[in-house]
Amino acid sequence: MIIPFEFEYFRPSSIREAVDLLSEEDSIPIGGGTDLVPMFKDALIKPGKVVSLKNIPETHGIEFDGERLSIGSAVTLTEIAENGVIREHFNSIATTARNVASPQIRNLGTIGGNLCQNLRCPYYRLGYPCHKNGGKKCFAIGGESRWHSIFGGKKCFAVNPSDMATILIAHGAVLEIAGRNDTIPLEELYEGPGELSLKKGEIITRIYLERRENSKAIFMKFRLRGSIDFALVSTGIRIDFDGNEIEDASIILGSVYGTPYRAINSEEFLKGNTLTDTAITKASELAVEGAKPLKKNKYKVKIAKTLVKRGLETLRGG
Amino acid sequence: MQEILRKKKTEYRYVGKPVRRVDGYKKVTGRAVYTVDVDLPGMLHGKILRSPHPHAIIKSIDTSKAERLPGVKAIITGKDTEGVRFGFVETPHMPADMPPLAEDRVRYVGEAVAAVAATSEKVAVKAINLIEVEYEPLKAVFHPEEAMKPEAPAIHDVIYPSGRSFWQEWGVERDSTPQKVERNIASTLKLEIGDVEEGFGNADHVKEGRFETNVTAHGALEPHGAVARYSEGRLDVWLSHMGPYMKRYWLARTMGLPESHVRVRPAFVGGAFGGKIDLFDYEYIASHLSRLTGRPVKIVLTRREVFQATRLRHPMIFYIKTGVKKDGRITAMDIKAIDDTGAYRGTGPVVVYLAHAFSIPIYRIPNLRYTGYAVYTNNPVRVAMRGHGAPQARFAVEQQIDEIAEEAGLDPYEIRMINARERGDVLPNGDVLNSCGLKEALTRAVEDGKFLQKYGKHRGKGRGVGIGLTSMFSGAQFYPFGATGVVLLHDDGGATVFTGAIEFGQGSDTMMCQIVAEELGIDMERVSILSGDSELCPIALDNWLSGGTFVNGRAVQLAAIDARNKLFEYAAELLGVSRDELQAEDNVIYSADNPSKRIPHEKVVKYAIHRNRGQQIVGVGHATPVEGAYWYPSLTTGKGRFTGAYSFSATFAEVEVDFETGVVKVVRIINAHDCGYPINPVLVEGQAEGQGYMGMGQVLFEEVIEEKGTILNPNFLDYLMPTSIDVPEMKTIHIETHDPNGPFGGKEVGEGVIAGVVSAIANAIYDATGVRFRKLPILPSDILDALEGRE
Ligand SMILES: Cc1cc2nc3c(=O)[nH]c(=O)nc-3n(C[C@H](O)[C@H](O)[C@H](O)COP(=O)(O)OP(=O)(O)OC[C@H]3O[C@@H](n4cnc5c(N)ncnc54)[C@H](O)[C@@H]3O)c2cc1C
Ligand code: SF4
Repeated sequence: MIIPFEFEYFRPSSIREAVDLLSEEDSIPIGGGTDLVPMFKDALIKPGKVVSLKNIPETHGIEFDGERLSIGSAVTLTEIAENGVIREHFNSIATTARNVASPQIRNLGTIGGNLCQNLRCPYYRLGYPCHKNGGKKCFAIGGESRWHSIFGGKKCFAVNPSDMATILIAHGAVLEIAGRNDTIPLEELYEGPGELSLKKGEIITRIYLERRENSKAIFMKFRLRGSIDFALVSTGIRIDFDGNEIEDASIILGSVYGTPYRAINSEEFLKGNTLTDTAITKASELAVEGAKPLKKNKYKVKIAKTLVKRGLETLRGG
Repeated sequence: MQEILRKKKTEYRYVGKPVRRVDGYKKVTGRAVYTVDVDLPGMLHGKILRSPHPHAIIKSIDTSKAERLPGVKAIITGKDTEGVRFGFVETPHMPADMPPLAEDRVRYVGEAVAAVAATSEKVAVKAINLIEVEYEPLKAVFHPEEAMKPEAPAIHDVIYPSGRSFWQEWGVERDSTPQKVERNIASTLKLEIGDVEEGFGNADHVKEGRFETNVTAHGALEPHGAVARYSEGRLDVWLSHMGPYMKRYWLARTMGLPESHVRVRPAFVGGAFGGKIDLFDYEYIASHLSRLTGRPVKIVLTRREVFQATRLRHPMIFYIKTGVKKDGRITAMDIKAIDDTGAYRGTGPVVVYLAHAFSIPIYRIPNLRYTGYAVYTNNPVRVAMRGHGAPQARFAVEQQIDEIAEEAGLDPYEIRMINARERGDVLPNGDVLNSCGLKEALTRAVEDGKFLQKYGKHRGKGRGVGIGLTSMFSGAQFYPFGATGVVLLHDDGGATVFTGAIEFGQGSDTMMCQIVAEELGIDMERVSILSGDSELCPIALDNWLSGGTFVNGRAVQLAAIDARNKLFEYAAELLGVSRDELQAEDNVIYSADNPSKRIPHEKVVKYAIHRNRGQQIVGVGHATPVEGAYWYPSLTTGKGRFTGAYSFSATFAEVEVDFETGVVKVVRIINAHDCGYPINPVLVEGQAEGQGYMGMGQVLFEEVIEEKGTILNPNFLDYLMPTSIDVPEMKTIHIETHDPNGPFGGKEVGEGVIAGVVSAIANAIYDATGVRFRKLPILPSDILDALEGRE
């Protein structure tokens, strides 16, 4: 299959150059292209200028100073999955990366691209004239909603499909964005389904996160097939302990809402608690409190609950 | 032709052995040339504009803008064809119904409306986007039971024959008549054996149920494609397919050429599974565009086109009623089958027949009524897929057998042993079971899986076991009705096999070479093969007819024996011994009575050529699926002989069900399979295991999701086929029954097993959950819903 339109391709070697190019009309950044190129082939996006971020030194490398982990946005998922430091200090992140897509896609796909990836709703990907393709309708409502949001939506009910976002938000990751002085919490990147807080010309350059003492984290993914399958539900959980007591908890659900979904009620409930059976059950129920499933995705509510429960049980266990 | 059986089974050198594939080296080194790799000088690229509507009138097509695009060499629409419709099925009363390009109406999303040949794929894509088509959408219908209602929109009205039908060419002196389609019914099959009402009257237990199966996709890795080169009145094509004869026949008909002017060339095939049988629009279009432009034309479909615009598995609905006596004997069965065949007939009438025909060899059912409808809808077209009707029927029947056994207080093994057929049984259509390892397969699978120790022990507690039985044919009387094999001996004593049988991954070439090496007593390395070339090879059954071993292999075996007989004639002369005492082994012919009398093959062949007016030894053999039968059984009454041998299998499956997520994990699959004799055990196991995970996929997550005729998951990311990570522990038990008419006793193995797998897993899920699932696939959401209902 070919890309049925013409575009210019740029490979800048500095952030400055990249930002200049991306400030121009009709331009788009590209990492590994694993998400974008298929969309080009289907002519869902037809940019005139494609700007690669892979040739810029600042977007590469994984560094750890004992406190802070720094990952370049053009680092591939394979690099993350195989990195010794990440495996030692943030193993849940390496595990998450290993469970994304397939080896070939992980070899090409970048962390920046994974965080900024486009929606997977089939209507959108098949070019149906829905809200996200410039139309006036959502086809999932009244159609096939098995993959969609269980926590409602406005016009669009597609979910954020990024596994990496789920776990990284649980870890409290922040983003460095070219041209901005301050980092922003990763969570604030997401404004709605397929809607990012990046402005024209802005790119993610690095991702940072802090190591915490007495903290445990886990990523759980539910999918039908054992590999090369997006999550139907995922969860990233991080618990900071003070002895047996929970000092802080982060419970993020993936693929259930237009953005990564923070289960704030169960987080609040867990703080100051210990991971008893009753507390775990309660926390898992609170995680899906207020769910408003669509016609065909009630099952996701139960699965989300189960994942949270099992995640907490595992964290308690070892 | 006399067959001299000289060797005992234990003395075989090549058959019965896990010989390495003869095409393996080319494949693993990337040298194998597939159709998508074919690149000819001056070649153009074709693209097809397809309908976005499930049902619409084409009001106008404007190609003028596209014509002006530089690089565009030809554009065609329905008006430019020869007006010959094609189809998998064409009988005197069921004319072929598919136009190669839509005429005035489109009936499914993906139907070809116009096509372009251009100097590059890019130009071709641009050009089709410049073609303007005005449609007037019509009411469409997507469910077969809806389509059968009188008020449903008529998808076809009257279907007119396009010229002399295939049957007339082959001696059926019946004129083809137009078909007036009523209530969208493409075909009806009705048959009754015994007295069904009386049978139910005699039953102590009666069970009724409705079952529904899913649309699945073949998922061949190589997408469909064609390269056509038309030159000086002759057409050369490279296709990704399953047998050259169906293709050649319909290309010749639609292009208006004599068969001998169409050459289907051999090419490696990257998987087929039933999905590459009949003629496709793009094959005709590439040929036609090549004739128009005088240049070769290549068309390779996108994955989305493969899903949406080629063919899929038939989804079927069954209403079944079964009656049994207290002791478990089946007294009657009444089956109504409804097939959603899509917008064109596809294989609808055949799948409706086969769902029945693959069932009758399994159980003795004295009173049986079977009514089947293939129904037009505005969905994509359906065709054969591994098992073709068997997985659908077994999913329904094998579950109902378990249900009624439970009611009668019998276990699933017992009830099957009571009713299973045996060798010597004569089926209602006259077919004879000359070999039948059904009960042995069942017993072995049950013992190996410890079925009886496990069954019902964890009922409703998340762990379960199930069994399922199936049978499959070994070739049928369909064009070209039989096979000729040719074996040519070279002057160094080596041999070349010529057969129209095609290698599409199943191992046909290897099996043929094994047979020839064995019969001639020469090394495998000395045997080469030329297969699947419609011009250079003698005819064979297309390999989608499951007669690859039983019929095509048999023809090649007889050809090798013929060559050997001729060889022995000369050897006897040279050695001065009687022909009857000769043996061949290790490239040497020797006297069994006096082994010092020996001569290499090479010398005998040279002698034959040199001293006997250039007589190169050529062995010829012929075989047919059913001796004395000349036609495929009736698709409306089911009458008529079907096949020469049935294979059988029994599957044991064990599953675990996670009640909190609804996930079914298949832990183990054991297939006990009677293929007569495994000429290559590794290839047989490959077939059985491949069907193991294909069947598992069909139950657990494979589902082509169609919404108003559009497929929502037309790619390998969203259409979920199992990966190596998902595959459970699998085991194949060979049951050897030595069919008297198969080569070395061999018969079918490529497509029956899957039906047992599907039904065994479904039964195991019941055992684990205590809930009967009558609709495929059985997704976590279905399990969770059902368990919630149960609580
Ligand atoms: C078969 C398949 C299976 C998959 N399975 C999973 C899965 O299970 N879980 C999962 O999480 N993902 C999955 N994915 C998505 C996959 O992880 C992403 O395609 C990949 O990570 C994207 O990386 P990329 O570098 O190739 O992105 P690209 O395709 O290059 O870009 C993706 C998007 O991000 C933007 N972008 C890229 N880099 C930056 C940056 N630095 N700053 C701002 N914007 C940027 C691009 O403009 C584009 O919009 C799957 C994808 C495929 C094709
Ligand atoms: S869920 Fe969103 S992307 Fe999908 S059809 Fe609705 S609006 Fe479009």
